[in-house]
Amino acid sequence: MLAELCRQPGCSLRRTSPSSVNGFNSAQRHNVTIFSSPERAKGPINWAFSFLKKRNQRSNEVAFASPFAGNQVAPLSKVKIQLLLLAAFIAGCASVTANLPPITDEHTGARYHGRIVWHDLLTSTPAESRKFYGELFGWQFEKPGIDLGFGDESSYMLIRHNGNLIGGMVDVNALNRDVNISQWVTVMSVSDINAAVGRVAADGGEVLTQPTELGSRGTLAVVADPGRALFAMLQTKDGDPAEQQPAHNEWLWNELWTDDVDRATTFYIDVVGFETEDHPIENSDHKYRVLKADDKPRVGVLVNPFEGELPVWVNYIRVEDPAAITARVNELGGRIIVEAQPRSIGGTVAFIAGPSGAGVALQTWPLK
Amino acid sequence: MRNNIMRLARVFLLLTVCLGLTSCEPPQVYGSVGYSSYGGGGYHGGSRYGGSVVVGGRIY
Repeated sequence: MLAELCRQPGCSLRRTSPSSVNGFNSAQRHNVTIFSSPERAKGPINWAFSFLKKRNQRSNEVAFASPFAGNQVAPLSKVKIQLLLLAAFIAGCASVTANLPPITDEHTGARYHGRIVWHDLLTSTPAESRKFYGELFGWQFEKPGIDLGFGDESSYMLIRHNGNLIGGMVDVNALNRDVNISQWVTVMSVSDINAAVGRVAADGGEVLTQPTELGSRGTLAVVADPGRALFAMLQTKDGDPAEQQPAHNEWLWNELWTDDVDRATTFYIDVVGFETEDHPIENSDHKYRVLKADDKPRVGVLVNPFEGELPVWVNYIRVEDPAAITARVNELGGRIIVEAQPRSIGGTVAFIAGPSGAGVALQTWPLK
Repeated sequence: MRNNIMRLARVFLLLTVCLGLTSCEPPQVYGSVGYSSYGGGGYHGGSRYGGSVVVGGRIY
């Protein structure tokens, strides 16, 4: 409709960049469609809405050039014009969509279906979590935009490591939940999120948040698999991050711990689309199942090593020395769930929890 | 001068109304999450697991 309204010569539509939207702080950044025309210099109101009105120089009336009435010009009072402007403004505000920055600074245009492309930390202790992950892994936390001083601290922050975007952090206190929902959310790339979400319920899962447009980030949905392991699916707007070997202190691997590997596998095959590859586990009757997409290993699935615990997605950070990390976990408010231990196939792993209780695994890489 | 101030005041008023109507909240896509596998005493380690837990990890 806005495009139809803006058909006068010299009037054009443009979408602002997030950083140029004055008056919105980082938690309030939205896509705001504004109008641009040569009359911009006449003042804010004239500039923003110049396509709507033409001043009658002889009187205090204003002529409204209706785009639906050809060249007819109907006189309207100033009060009516102002009411129209207010209504248009309110309608515009009501229709704005939340705008989160993309998960990569590069517009790759590529989507890697089934690949884990993002991690969001839901935390009830954001300040402690920042210190915990900042000191252990050298992560930096930043607000996703400029802070103009409106309101309190943003409840969403971006996480970077050496300049690389590696995740986000959500202050769950802003969600007003009665229970502590702190956890790392594993975000899986899909090329058609509506189709993927549409298959969740039929395969025994649950859709917690329907596909939601997040502006530059893309469209995200939050779901749970049949074992209630929670994860998210994202159809990025401008592409997924390029594939590359993870650096130290960045994400290395993602794994589902579940009670029923076969049932879970069926679910993820149906919803997302994977091929499977089983590997024996030394001194165990169980297999380590790798789910592959485009012939590339994307995630692992194994029987939950913690008997009786709820299924969960576990995210591994590549570290040089897991023992050196676990030695500092308690002093930073976290806890050690599994001490650093050697793996039978090489390398070392550990499993820890941050101050809010969200678990994360550590692993050396490559195997040696 | 006075007209310009009034215009700016009107713009500010409109923005205030808009911000109020949109509540200015960040996207609450996680607002429907009602549990965590780590909540309720889950994954607390220690002697509960007998010290024999072997976790997974990337294999290739």
